[in-house]
Formats: sequence, C-alpha cells, structure tokens
Amino acid sequence: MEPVIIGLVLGGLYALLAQSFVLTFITTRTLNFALGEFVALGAFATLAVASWGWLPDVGKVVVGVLVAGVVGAFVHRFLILPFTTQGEHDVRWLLSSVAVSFVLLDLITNVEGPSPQRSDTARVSGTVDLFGTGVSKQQLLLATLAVVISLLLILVTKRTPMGLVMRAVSQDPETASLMGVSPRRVGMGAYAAAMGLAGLAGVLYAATVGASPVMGEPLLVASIAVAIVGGLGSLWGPLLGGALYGVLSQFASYQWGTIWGETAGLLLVIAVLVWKPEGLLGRRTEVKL
Amino acid sequence: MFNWSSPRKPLLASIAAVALLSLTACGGSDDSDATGKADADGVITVKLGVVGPKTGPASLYYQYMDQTFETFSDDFEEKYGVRFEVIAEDDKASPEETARAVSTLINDEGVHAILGPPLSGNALQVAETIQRSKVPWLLAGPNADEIINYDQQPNWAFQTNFTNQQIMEVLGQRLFANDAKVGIVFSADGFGQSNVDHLKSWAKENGHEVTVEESIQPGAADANAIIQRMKSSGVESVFMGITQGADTATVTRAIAQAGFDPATIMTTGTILTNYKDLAEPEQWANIQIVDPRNFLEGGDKEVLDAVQEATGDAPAIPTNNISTYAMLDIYAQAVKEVGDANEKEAVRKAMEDIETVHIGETLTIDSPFAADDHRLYTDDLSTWFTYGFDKDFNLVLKGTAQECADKGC
Repeated sequence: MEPVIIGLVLGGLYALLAQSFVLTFITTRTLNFALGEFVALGAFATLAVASWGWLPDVGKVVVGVLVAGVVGAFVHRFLILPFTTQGEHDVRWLLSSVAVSFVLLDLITNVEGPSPQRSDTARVSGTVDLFGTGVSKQQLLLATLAVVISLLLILVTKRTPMGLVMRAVSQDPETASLMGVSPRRVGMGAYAAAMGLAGLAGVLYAATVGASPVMGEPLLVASIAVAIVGGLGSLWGPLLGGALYGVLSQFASYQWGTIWGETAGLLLVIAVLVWKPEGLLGRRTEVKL
Repeated sequence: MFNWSSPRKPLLASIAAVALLSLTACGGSDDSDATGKADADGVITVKLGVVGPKTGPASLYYQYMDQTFETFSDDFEEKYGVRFEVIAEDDKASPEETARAVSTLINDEGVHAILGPPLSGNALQVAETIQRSKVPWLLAGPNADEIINYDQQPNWAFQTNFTNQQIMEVLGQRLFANDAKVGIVFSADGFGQSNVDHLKSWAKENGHEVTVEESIQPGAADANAIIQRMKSSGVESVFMGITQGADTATVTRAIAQAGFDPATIMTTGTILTNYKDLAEPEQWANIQIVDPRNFLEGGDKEVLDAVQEATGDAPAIPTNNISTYAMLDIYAQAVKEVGDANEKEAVRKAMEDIETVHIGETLTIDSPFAADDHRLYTDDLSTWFTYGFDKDFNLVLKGTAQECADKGC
C-alpha cells in the first residue's frame, strides 16, 4: 500500500508541473523547457518578500505566482512567439526556450548563489498517517492542489467564455483570429497561467527542499513524462499520468531499488508512445488532405 | 560552540562580485610574473592552475578554494616567500570540461602545479593525464582513493582530505557493532560510489555484509523508497555517503517521515554544508559524523574562523577549507625549499619528504607522506573525532573514534 500512497502523492507534484506543459501545448503547440527555472523563480520571488511581516503567507505565495506568470507571458511574447511564425513545422521555439532556461538559471544563480535557502512560507510541517503510511503534509498539500487546480482548469475551459476562446485557438487559430480572437493574447495568457502554476509548485516545493536555482531540474523529466503519458492535449491527462508514473516508479523503487524507479517511469512513457502516441487521454487528430 | 553564520548578501554586492570574478577570470597569462623563481625581493611567484566548478550548482566546491586563497595568500607569502598566481579554469563540475581545463592549464598555461578538481569523479577523469604530465597535483578536495595509483612511481598526486578507505576503516567498527545490519545510501557520483565500494570492501574483509545499498540522485524529490527498503530489511545502522547536505536532508526527512529509528546514523563532514537550513532539529538529533579534524579547537578551528572573518561568509565547505590550507602549506614549503617551482620533480620530492605540515597557527602534522602513501591523514581511530549535533546544529564532540568504537557514543 505504501508505494501506492507515496506514488500518488508524489505524482501530484509532477501533475501540477505537467499541467503547465499541457496548458501551453493546447493553446500554442509549444512547450516551455525552461519550466524548471520558473519553479525556482517562483520560489525565490516568494523568498524575496518572506521578511515582509505585513503580508500574509497567501500574499507571499501570490507574489511568487505573479512574478513567474508575468515573466512567463513576456517569454512567450518575445522569445517563443517570434520563433513560431513559419508554420507548424517551425520548431525554433525549442531552442529559444532552452536558451531561456540557461539564461534564467545563470541569472538566478548569480543573484542568489547556488546553495539552497530555507523557505518557511507556506510550510506545513509534520506528517499525516494515510492508510498506515506516513505522508508529508507538504507533499499532500501539493497533491491536493494539483487535483483542485486541474478540476478548476477543466471547468474554466469547458464552462466559461474564456475557455471557449482557448479551445477555439487550440483547434484552429486561423479561424479563431478571423472571429476576432487574438491567438497571441491567448498564448500569452496561457503562458502566464502555466508559469504561474510552475511558480506555485516552486513556492510549495521550496518549503520542503529549500529554494535553489536548480530545484526544478530534477522535476522536469518526470513532469514531461507525466504530460506525455496522460496526453499533452488533455487537462485530465496530468492527473492520470501523474498517478500512473508516481505509483509505478515508487513500486519499482520499493521492489527493486531506486535505480529502477525512474527507469520504470520512463519505460511507461515509451510504452505509451508506442501504443498510444497521443497519450492515454489525448485525442488523435485527423487531418484532411 | 561551532557556528559559522552566513549572512544573505545584498543583490548589488552579488552582482559586483560576479562582475569582479568575471574580470578576474579574463586575465591572461601574457603579463605573468610567475617565473617560478625568486625575484629581487626573494619572493617566488608560482603559477598555480586551479580547476573547479566556478559556475553552476556545485560552485560551492570552487568557492572554498577561493575563500582559502583570499584569506591566507598573504600569510603564505609572508611565511614562505611564495606568492600564488592563480590561473582559474571553470569545469562546471563536468568531467569533460575538467579534461579540457587540465589540458589548457598544462599545455597552454604551463602551470607549476594544479589544485583541484574538487570532485572525485572529475579527478578520476584526469588522473592519468596529470600523472603523465609530471605536474604536482594538489588534491585538497576529493576523497576517492582510486584517484591515486601508487603503482605509478614517482607519484605526483597528494591528498590532504581523508580518503574513503580511511573513513570506512574508522566507521566500520561503529556501523557493524554487535553484528548490526548496515545500510548505505550514497550519492550517484564518484564520491558516493567510492564510499559504497570501500564500505563493502571493509565489510567483506571483516566477515560482514552490507544489507541494503541505495543511491540517491542529486536533487531527488524524495527518498521514501530508500528508507522503506532499509526499514523493511531490518537495517540497524545507516551510513550516508552523500556529497551534498541538501540531499542528506532529503534522506533524513524520509527517515523521520517513515518513523524509522536505526540505532546508528553516521555520515561525513559534507553534512556541514547546506544541511542545517533544510532540516529540522529532530532529524539531525541522532546523526553523528567522524572526521580527522578538530573543528572545535586548535589549528583547524583557527583556519575556519579566519575564513569567516576575512570573507564575511561561512566557510563554503569547512572540511575542504582546512584541507586546502594544509595543501597550500605543503606546496609552499616545498617550493621554498627547492627555490624554483620549475623544478617540478624536486618540488614533488620535497612534498613527499615534508617534515611538518602546519594547519593554522597551532596544529602540526609530522612526516605524513611516503612514496606509497600521499595521504595526509591516517586511519588510526585514536586520531579521529566523533561529533554529534545539538538542537542548533552546533557540533558536539562525543569523543575520539576509538572511544566511541570501544564504549559507544
């Protein structure tokens, strides 16, 4: 039972970050490979205001989310969008997002130094017993948030005019723009929301492991894997992908050692790519020629 | 009590420091005064190649060398008439970059000696190259024994940190006391691998067996599975051979989370870096470390206090700050005795034959080296110290390693 519980909880963290990939992919067909640095950016932004006694913890968390979100929107406008102008086969954004990753990493390291710094904002200490398994309250909070935020995003995209616009841009940006919708603004909004989510994950994760420039890097592979397993085109996908990836990798770690944990998760990705390349909950897109 | 504070640096100071370091790194060797021979004032300027991760997540492993130079360069010049002209190469903690950096230092810069790299895996990558190049190799950081192959004589490498084989000799008795089941969690890097190899080797030689061995990736999100495997295997003694204190914190967090309560938890001095801020007092309450240095009094402490005072920062990696001081003392003495840093074989021999190593003002170690032993410390348990921690993470001396092995601590 323990691998299942711990796997589900850990999968929540990965799912939250995978949701960022899904958000940008369904609206702009791009992925931000600097996501790990946005995790760190959110954490450090919150850390910067941690000493403001007049601001409640929620406010400090919001600062982290906003900073990451605003920078994310700018990154889309100036460093992603200009490199997507030559059709769907234009993948220069891949390089520019990797470049953003290096630049942000160096900037954060130069300003804050390489060492992890303690972050007490939004820290929930202690463990809770869940079906006989000791689970960190902080990790449980992250997992719960992943579920709540995913449900909110699904509601927004299905039930609100904003969601309608997002889906329109996702399905046919050219036609959507003829109807007065700006795919550029939708893209910026999606990047702001996605990087804000990464910032939120960063603030909460830093309360456990400390804020450091490289804190997001170890999460990146798992998050991409979760997004692929669940399906990059589905907002439900990260929840399913996170659960499967988390449980499988923990089960393998418990049974055969940690070295097999990540391997098992990545084998799952390969299996999904072979069997259902669009992801378990993704939809195959038919193109009329 | 032992407590080096680390004040947060203002943004501007950080940017200024980065700019200054960048400018320093741009310095070429064309105007070098480092002839390796005494100038009119009798000062010998040595061109010292320094390899390490100046940038990137492991940059603390360069910072400790920087701090030690900043603090003690003038002292060595005054004491031995030897001035260090540092030619720094950034290897970004990558073995490939280390190979490039060492090649540049030897072939292009023509350095008189090489200090670093500080990480065992990277040092292993260039061991053959440096040995073949016949340049004194000052290993103040890495702990892996495998770096020095004593079959190759004369040998050009010297280690002033303890080695993994030595620490296992010291720890073996503690960990396996009363035939306890032992588990090791080690970093997935050269340091960690060397740790597990030597623990298993010690266990085999002494009729024991390591029950669980698990690696942890740098920055791992959790270590629950590792700890659960130890717990379910009935492990009673845990050794953490982990490079970064932050990863040690991940492991001790998992220990607390799992309600795992082994009788003995031992680790190395690496816990002194980046651990305290990421852990809670109850997580370090039962941890002990062993080290051949006395952090609480005498020459070792003098070095650490001087670094804190001169740089305004806590020693980046306290164990390595001390080992760098010892190494510079050894090399400066050897250069002074030979009188010409270009006479590399003579300098190497002088290092090998050194009579007294000074650490700080008050600590000396006599005749540490022999042709087949270039290690500053020995594995004599009576010369090692066992420390625990109080609730503020100050070190508390528990006794010598021998006392703790005999009576428990």
